[in-house]
Amino acid sequence: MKKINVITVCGSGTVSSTMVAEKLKEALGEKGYSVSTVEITPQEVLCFIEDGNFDFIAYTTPIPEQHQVPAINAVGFLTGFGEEEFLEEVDKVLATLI
Amino acid sequence: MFGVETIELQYKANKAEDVLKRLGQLLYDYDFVKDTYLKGVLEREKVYPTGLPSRGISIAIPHTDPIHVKKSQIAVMTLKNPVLFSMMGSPEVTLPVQIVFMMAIKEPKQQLQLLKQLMKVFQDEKLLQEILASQDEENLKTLLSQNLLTREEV
Repeated sequence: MKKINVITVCGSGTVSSTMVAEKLKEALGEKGYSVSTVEITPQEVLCFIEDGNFDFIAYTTPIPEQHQVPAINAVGFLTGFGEEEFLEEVDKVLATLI
Repeated sequence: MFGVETIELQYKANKAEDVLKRLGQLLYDYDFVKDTYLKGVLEREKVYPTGLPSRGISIAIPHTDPIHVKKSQIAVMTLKNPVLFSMMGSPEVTLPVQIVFMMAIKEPKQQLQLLKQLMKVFQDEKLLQEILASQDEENLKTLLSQNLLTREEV
């Protein structure tokens, strides 16, 4: 199993972010990834990036600009309208990790 | 467990704020939320908008923190004419919203369940059309209860 670390972000840091995290674990689990997630608010993003080693961020609310970790809009993944596009973006990020 | 007692059909509104105020007031009148709830929703919607696009009908799912909620409830509104809401995750994009589900939920876990159910409803264009066309509150309550309450909750 390839292990990846993901930050999921929503306004409350609890609900949408958890739903995105669950869906990610399922979708990427099928592709052979073991996904660890932290669910946080936009205000916590910069702090978490400083402290941790994350492969990408999936967000449903806008997050502060930063250049360390790739960030992908996950609203389409949440609703299901745009799920494939989201997963393509994720694949692109994962392809850069070896 | 949460209820779907607060419904407003074919509401006429010019802007998102009118919609939020009406539904917030309705939830307050029925004593489902504290007097701080509406302010919480209005502020949150400005920073983290909740409009969501689908293939056809756009919806919005305004909400705020559980501390403003007394008893879990979802208030539903269908709009006579679409009202512009900013899109979740992309506030620069506006969407013509026709159905609004205002969530007043006490437990984050419950809210997660409800969000999952809502996204299922949202995938079902036929069901959304049915909700939008509904002219009868009681029928809509039944329809929504069947589709929004999870098995454990029924």
